[in-house]
Amino acid sequence: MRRLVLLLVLSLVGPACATAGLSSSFVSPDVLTYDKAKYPDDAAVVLYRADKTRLDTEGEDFTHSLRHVVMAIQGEGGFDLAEVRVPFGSNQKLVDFIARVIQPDGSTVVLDAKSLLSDTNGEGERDSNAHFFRFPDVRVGSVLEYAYVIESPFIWNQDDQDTLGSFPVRQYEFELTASKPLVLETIELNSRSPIEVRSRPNGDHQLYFQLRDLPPRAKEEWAPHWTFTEPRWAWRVVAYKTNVVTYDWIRDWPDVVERRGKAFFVEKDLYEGFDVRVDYSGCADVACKVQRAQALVRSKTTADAKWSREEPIAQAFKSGHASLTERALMLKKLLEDGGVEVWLAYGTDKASQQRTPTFPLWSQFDHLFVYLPKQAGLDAPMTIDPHCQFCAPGTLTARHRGIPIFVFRTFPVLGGEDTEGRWVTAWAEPATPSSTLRVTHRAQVQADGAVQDAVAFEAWGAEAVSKSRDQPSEKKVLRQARDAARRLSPIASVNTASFGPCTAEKAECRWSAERSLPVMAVSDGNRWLVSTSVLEPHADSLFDAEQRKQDVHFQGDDFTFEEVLELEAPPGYRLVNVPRPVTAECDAMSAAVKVEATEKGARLTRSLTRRVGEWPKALYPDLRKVAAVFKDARHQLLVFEKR
Amino acid sequence: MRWSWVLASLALLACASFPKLDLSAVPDGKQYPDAKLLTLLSEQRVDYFPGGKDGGPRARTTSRWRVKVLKPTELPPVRAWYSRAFSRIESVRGRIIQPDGSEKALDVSKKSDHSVFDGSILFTDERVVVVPVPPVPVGGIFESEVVEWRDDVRPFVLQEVFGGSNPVAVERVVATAPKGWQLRWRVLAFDGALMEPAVDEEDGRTRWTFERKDLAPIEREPQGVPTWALSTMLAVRLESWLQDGQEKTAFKTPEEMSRWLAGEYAAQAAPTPEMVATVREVLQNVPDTEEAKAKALYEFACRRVQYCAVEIGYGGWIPHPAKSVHETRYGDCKDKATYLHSLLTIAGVKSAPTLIYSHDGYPRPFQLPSLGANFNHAILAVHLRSGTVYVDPTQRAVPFGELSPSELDAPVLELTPEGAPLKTTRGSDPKENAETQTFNLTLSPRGDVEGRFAIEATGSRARDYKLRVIYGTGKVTKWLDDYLWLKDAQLDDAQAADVTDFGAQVSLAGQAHAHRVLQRGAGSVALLRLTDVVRPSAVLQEAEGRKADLVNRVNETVTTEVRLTLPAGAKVTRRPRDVLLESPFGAFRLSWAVEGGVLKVSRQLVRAKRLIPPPQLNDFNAFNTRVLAAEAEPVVLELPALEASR
Repeated sequence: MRRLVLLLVLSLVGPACATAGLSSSFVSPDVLTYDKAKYPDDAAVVLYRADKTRLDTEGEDFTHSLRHVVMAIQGEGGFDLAEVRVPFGSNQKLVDFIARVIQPDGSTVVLDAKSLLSDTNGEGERDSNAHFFRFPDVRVGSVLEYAYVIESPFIWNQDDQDTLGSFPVRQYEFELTASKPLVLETIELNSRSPIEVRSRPNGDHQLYFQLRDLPPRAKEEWAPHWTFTEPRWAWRVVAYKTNVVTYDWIRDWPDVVERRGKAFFVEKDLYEGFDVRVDYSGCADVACKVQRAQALVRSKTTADAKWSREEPIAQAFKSGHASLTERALMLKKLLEDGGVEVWLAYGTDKASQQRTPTFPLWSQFDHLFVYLPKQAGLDAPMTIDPHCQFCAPGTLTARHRGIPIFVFRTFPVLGGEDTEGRWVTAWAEPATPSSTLRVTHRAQVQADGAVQDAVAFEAWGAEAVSKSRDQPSEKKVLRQARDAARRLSPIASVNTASFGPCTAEKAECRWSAERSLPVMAVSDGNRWLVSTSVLEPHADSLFDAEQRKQDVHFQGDDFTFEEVLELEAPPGYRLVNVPRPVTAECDAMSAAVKVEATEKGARLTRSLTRRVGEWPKALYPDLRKVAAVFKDARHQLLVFEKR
Repeated sequence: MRWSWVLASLALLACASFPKLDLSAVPDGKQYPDAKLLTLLSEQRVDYFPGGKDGGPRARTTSRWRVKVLKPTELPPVRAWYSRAFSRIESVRGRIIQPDGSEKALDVSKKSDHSVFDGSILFTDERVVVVPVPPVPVGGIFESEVVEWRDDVRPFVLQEVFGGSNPVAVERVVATAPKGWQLRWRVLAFDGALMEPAVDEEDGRTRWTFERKDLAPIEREPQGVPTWALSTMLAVRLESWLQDGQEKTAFKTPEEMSRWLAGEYAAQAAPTPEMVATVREVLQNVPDTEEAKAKALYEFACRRVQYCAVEIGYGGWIPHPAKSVHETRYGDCKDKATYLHSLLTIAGVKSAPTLIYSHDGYPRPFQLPSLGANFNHAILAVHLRSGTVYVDPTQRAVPFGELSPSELDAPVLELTPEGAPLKTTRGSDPKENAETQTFNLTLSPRGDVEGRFAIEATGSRARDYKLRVIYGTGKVTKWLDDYLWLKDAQLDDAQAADVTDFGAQVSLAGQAHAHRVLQRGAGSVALLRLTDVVRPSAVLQEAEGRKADLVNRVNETVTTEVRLTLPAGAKVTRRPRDVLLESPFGAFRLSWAVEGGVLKVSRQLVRAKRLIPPPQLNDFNAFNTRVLAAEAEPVVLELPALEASR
């Protein structure tokens, strides 16, 4: 749950006084006592963890960051926690270190900082170093405690918390202390703990909160990203304020994106040598130009590199292997060359991680869009996903439709540059085709009980793009077909298999196989019994667990799975006891199964649709029912009797 | 030993000194339609010189990698690993050649130098220099070169596995040394391509060149041998050299290496009064036999000394003192082996630290008597009067006298003052690695089952259960959910009825249920297959085109007993025939019975052959196919109508 946001505007008056940095001391005995019975399944319990930061602008600027951990080892699975690595940059140094192990009998061994193993060879700007140590004589029942302080010779301007890991945490403390001139803002997420604001005698200000009894993260299918569930914090320096003037650091969203904006809109480095041109002749509107620019970029590049990679786009274009960001910049350049006004926009995929719209924070973004404001030849703003291989102008896939995006542009001003931006909603028509996988079986029961199955797979939308990324060799196609068949029957054989055509641009992909599935049917007197386990094992274990601890987050895109089994029974037999059609639906999923008698045998159709988004835990029983309807179709027995 | 950036900068300017490439002669790689990269040249060169540490030899190694981009892809960064104790990087450089022939030097100013965080080692003095490679177009060529100096070549062996995940046009190892110095090498030609070096002279130096051309990509096969066993593996090191006018030699035999290392280990094995006191304490109430004492001390070392590797310089080969292991209660494999050796010595039991290559089911042959080749692990040979027993004190759940599967059938070198020859550990026996899972289940008319299960296991089949209990406490239930042979099982509870860390046998039991284990339509008839309830016994692997052995990690016996209580009024109208199969690969039996409304199934598979060579794979598959076909035969049931049962 999102909590109070505090803005701390610091006093303009009052002399600065020199202050010491952070230092550490062992926790008091009461922190070490806890009720073991509360943690029967955990190999370790984090009794105490603190993350403290001090930003000091008095004299030489520096940042101290303290990590303090106290862990009770409850089982041998916790022994690995005795190994500690402390990484730091080549321009940072370890200024304080304490560590001790308290044995089950109460005896204590304090580690000397001299016992640290050090690797400090790195000297360059990008180099990193580390200290290492291992607690001695760790036993079940030992308590391990360490704390260290790393000093950086500059002021950090923002930070946000990483996951607390897989063990329960009994007590967690966050503390951020800053010199007077620094204006800070912090946020606490997924927690109800109040943030305290403290003033120190020397004029420093401090933000503090603590959390208690954090459970370990549950491992569940379609679990929310940890940022949705773990209590966590983020902070940033809003401004540096002197008696005379205020320098904004990260005051608002434009400040968050301004560095990227400068690189994308003002500086030329990333565009150097990119002399590709699009033929826009005959284009009457912006949509036409977008279509042509997209067609070029899609045909010449894949978008497989890490999304935020920023190599010069000429190199990326020539290599044919681009990142999402590079593709966005290619489109920006090509469209601007065509006289189109182009902005960019950062956003966060649906359900991919928690968004914090009230707190400007870079790390929440995981997608870059091209944004075209309303302009001549464009009646309404248009959001373009550079990653999408098939989205027509004005369309987006489900993962992006309706999400908030921060649109921005940066422009030169006297003495520098300025960034303007605003939040908008990425309204767009649904991209077609939607992500679908259809499987069609033309199956025939053989006299020996085997089922000859000519199976065809057809994929559309994102599913097709994903499949077409890897154009497999004949050998690999056969192997994949064999592996797929043996998921149905361990003694299945594949006669032929083919792949294609698959085109990412059309978002269509087809592949097929002819296979033999032994013992799928049994001749039983005057009837044939045919198992429907010839169907694909798609979603076979979906939501098997009867209990659910967390919400269900479907990530990616909306997805539909369709399957048709056209089954030819032995001549002279007809389907009896036709099962009734079944359907089930809730907001997040729907399923339908139908069996019909046909002239030659039977037709079974089933489908399952999943909608991207964040769905509450209360919906889980309904989700299970939908899944069960779909899965049970593979456990049917079709009975054919002699006519 | 510092990264020499002045030299590196000079190297940047010296891009022109890369050999000029005749682009028209560069292969097009069309014969590899799946490949994204074609390695034009992969070359390791080592030049030995006098003037190293303590007057010994030193070596300069040069690694060259030249690739052509065949499909759009991202090239990995250039990585140069170095050891602060043994080596320094002299230069890293590279170039990009565009399809039009224009060249650009790699921007090495973007380099970063990091500590190495190895998953299994807490601390090593190795670091890595990383230089990112910019996008290279299809048809373009990227080339990198890393030059490194080593001032102490004693532990240095240049090892090369020819071929890789990309096709290779030319792969080469070149070694040079002053005339009169000798080189020693060993080629393990798993792919049958024997290799002899071309030997010539260059500026008063002898040059040995090992080369292979046109290597297809190496693809690891399912359930197959490691990639090094699909290729040719070469190990090269300096054998003899002149030092202060005298000829010096590396270890000539395994025995010589055994002798030298035994001395180094012995120096670290000195007992302390505290260790003597510990031995006395551990052996209290232990029978006064050498086997009982060895077992008790082995279990103590396994339980009370945790694995933690700190490897600095020769610490990669020489253990820490037993005294420090005793005090800190941690150490790596050689530390723990030496510590146990010390404890046994105090107790009057003979033993010898022993080197081994811990494998993944496919033992690695011995190459050269050298520290840097052959072995990756240390265990202990306990010399009882009844015979030698190998033990591994890094294991946490292997009874005294047993080894983990990764240590079976493996060459070992015991470290003894007199020098020991190579020996081999024993193989695996299906009788020792046995597991029986028993299910007492009740079937509902809808096809759901619920009931109790019990597990009994020995040997390697017991080890996973023990480790889960030792490391996971309550998480055993979660793990068994996935591991249990009951398909789609949901576990309601699971308890370790008898699981001790070094016990020979484990027993677990619990309650489970599973949904829809049979096929049923709208009528009363249903099909039930054994493999709808429990997992199949085997997986078929293709024989066609197979290049190397199929690897089973252990020989073992797995037994399943299912007692399925049928719903009231249910009838079995047809059941499969009983099956009994025998083959050189093992044996299989499957029997069915119906007694008093209970369907009883008994299945046992004995795997008696670990490595199956390609020529035998068709026979092996034929055996497995018969096993799987037997398991796939269904039982036909007449069940009460669903409506009536509600």
